[in-house]
Amino acid sequence: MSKIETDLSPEIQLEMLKTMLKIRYFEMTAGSLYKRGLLKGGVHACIGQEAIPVGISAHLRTDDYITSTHRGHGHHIAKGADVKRLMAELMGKETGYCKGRGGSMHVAAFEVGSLGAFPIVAAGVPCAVGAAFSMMHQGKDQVAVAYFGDGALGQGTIYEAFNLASVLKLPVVFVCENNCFAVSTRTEATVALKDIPSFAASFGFTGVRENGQDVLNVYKTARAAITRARENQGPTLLYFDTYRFEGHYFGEPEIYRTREEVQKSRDELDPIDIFSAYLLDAGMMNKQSRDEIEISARAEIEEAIEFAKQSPDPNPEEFAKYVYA
Amino acid sequence: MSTREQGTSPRKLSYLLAIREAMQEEMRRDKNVILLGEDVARHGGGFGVSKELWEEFGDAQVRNTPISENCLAGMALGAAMTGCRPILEFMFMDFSALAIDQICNEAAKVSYMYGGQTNAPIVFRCPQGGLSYKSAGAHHSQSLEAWYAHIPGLKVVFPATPYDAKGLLKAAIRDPNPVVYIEHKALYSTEGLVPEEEYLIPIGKADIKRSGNQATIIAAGYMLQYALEAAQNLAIEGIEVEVIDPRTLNPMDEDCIFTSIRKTHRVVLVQEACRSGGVAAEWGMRINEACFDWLDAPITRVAGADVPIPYAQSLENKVWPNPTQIVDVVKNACYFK
Amino acid sequence: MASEVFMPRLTHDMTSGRLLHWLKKEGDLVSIGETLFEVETDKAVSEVQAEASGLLQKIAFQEEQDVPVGAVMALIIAYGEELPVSAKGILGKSIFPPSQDNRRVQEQNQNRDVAQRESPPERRVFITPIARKLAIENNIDLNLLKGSGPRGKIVEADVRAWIAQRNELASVAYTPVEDMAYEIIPLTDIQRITGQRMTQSATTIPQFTLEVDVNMAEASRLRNFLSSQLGVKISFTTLITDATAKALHLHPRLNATYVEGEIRCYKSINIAVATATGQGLLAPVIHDADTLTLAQIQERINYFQSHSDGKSFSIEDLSHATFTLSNLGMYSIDRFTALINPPQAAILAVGKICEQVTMKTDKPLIYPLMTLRLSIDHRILDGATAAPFLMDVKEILETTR
Repeated sequence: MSKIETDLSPEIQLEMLKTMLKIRYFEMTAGSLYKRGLLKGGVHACIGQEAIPVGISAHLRTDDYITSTHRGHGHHIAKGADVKRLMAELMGKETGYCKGRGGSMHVAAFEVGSLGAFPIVAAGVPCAVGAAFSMMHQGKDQVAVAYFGDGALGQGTIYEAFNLASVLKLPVVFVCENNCFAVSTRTEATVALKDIPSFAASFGFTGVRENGQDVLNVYKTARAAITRARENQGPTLLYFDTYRFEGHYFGEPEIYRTREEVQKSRDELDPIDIFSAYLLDAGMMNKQSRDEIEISARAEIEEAIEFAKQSPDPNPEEFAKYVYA
Repeated sequence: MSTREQGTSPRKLSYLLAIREAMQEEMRRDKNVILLGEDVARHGGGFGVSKELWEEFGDAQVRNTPISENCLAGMALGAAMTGCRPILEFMFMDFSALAIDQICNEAAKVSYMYGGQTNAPIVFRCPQGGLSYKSAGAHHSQSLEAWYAHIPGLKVVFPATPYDAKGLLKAAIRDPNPVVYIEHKALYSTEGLVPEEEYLIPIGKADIKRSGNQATIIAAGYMLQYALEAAQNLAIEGIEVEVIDPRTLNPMDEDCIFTSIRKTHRVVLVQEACRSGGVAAEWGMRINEACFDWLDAPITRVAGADVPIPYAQSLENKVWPNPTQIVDVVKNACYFK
Repeated sequence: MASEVFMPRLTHDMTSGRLLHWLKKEGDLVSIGETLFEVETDKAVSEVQAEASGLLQKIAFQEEQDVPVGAVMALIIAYGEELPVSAKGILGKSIFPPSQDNRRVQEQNQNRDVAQRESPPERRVFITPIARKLAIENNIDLNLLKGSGPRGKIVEADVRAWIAQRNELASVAYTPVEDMAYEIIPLTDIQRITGQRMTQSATTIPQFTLEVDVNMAEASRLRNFLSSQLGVKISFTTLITDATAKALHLHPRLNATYVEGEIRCYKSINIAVATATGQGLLAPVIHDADTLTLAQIQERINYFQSHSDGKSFSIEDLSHATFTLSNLGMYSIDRFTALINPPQAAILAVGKICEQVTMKTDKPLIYPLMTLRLSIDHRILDGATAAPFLMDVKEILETTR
């Protein structure tokens, strides 16, 4: 990691590392629970992609909005979601954010501004546009961030959203996480879009393509976008290159890539290793404080599992509760 | 028919103006009620329903949008979850097909799948149907209410009179849930009494538009007109039928319908939409489940043909139900010789 | 602590996986992340890695075996650690939380079986639901109603007309005094069905009776002979059944039913014998009675009497009767008229055998006399057709064979 000038205090940077570690352990734990049959349904991990939501969220207030995807645990944790309630939701418990009605793929945390994970690819993007519209209409300064993957660039809705946000000059930031694969298909095979700045410019807003493994680089890149939104200067497209270390979902056979390729990425592109090395190098932490951060992150996840396991299942009699408000 | 229509100061109003008046009153009451859609501003929308509203409320509450149905529905959802109460006009209900993902997968489900953390107060205004709105063909004449009535989390209303149109739209705008509000294009110019005073019509309440004891006809939207015409002709032959306008298609007012059938023992269901998988099928099944022991004749149905809506009028007339068919089917149900 | 090696759930709907190869063998030292085995699912071949380091022990599944998801396939024992005592009990078991789904499905299936077994076969009467409901509420036998609807379907109006007519009759008929003390004896199912059938018989079949006296001297002699010489106990009912079967063989018009406007004469002669049971009157059937020996008929009759609790007759025991015999001789009834069991064409009623004096011979002679009464459906039989049958029964009983 090149040294980057930041306005972030060392404390905040260490806190960001901890959040990335929390995401990592949350995902690893989810994988282990899934393989042991304690989690059901589809569980999609963002291991390798932790830098993006953490870098973005460093600019966001609790009352700002995000919309997320099926690979959304990281987005939620970075936005400040309680890992206990998140884990309880994954285990289908009444104490989960969605009281066991949503699960991993349909989780939301309104208390920290998450309007929800939208596992139908690109479906959350118009919703973020709507939240931005709503803020503009109500004269509020909250912004909305729409997370989506490279796969979403195949959906027409997303171009409708780019167009609409630009025409109405809405306070929204589009964040594309290109993790190289739409399920099993490499980005090159599904996305024709190459030149992000000129593409965005042709829609009338700013677009940049940046390395998404370096959390401070993400942070720096996002600053201008979020400021623009906050000042009602219209949308921005942030396109981050990253890499998905796990399969599309836990247990996926991964026949489309070699072990060597994954290992190489884990060795060279791990955002936590990159950030840790930087912090050690910059003297903001030492080996011992690094271990302490790791232990404390791990402890929070252990506590979350214990909380979730002890929590009650939803009452079957209430299966129809919340269909209508 | 209903006594509620005889308010202290009723006046004649068209179905179209009743819808406009409902929006106007609600937008005045609450600044967060906003109308979105293609050409809804100065142009007044596809049928002129929202004319003059932009002049009063401006861009803040009446906003022209690009032609992006799915994104608009998603935008309405995002706005609804963050404090607004959007009304989204689809120019024709047929076009709402483009927005089914956002309506059915997202808006209908956010309350449930997010465990009550949020809700989506959106009104999707959907002009549908054909009949006196003639020769609009396959993409501008369909009746698609069954698609939405199938989805838990959505409410679907379908007013047939100016009085119901106004009261139901005001209730829909205030409802905390997404409501698919269906307007029949051929009814826009029909007139009826509408009081000056404010009133709401509760969603989920049917209305008995004509009383009788020998058979029950259930018909919504434009089909109500045909059902009432058939009822008049049947009365001349000595058969007194009860005509129920469900007004809300989901949730269904089972009490009203079942009570009537337990009185008349015969029921004929009428829908303009094509026969297969229509709302009449759902009505029929529920009646069968709840009223089987009261039936003296099979539940029968008069419905549109299972074909795309054709263009030529000679073909078009063949596709939709008519009052004569309703008369015949009711007579059969009454074993009338 | 030993760590379990188990078949992971690799896809949402995976229930088992085929174990292709062990890449490690028992006793190998393995470390976290090393591939232990390959597994084939319906989607792909996947490698499964070790989740702990140590010695691989107690491999419980062989290559090419299907292993259920969650099943413990081996254990990894940390270096220096001992194999747990409970190891054997863990292997092959699932580590997944138990699911109640399977048990619930089984219970549901059982309930369904019971429901199917208990629902009795029903004769199809075309009647609308509201008409059926009204008929049941007003205790009306559906078989008595005539339908005015399409294809003869009984509709509400038909039942209301029937009720109106019945009320008219009731208003002029005797009405029971309600203010007297009484005991309610609920009808058994058999009594209810018998009641319906007899009502149908009495109200819809124009029936009349032929009567003949039979000299049972020869029959008594035969009965005594069989008893004393062969040690076979044969009852009069058996002898009369035998004679009836032989006579029916000669007169097939009597071995008939009247259904939907047509006479159906049967080749099989299946004689029902009215039998009093604890539950009410039943008529179990002696099938193909004309082909049976006296001993075989007697065996059937003994079987009927041993089952007089009425519950243990099979559907087969009670089906396919073509003619009915009712004997009240053992109750000392001289003679009686039986009601036809619809849709059969006729029924034979048998009275007791009593000493009778005849003056036809040179000197007064005492002989055993029994009276038979044959009720016949006048829609399909008349005296001229039925009399020869009855005379043949008499002759067979009066002559030695």
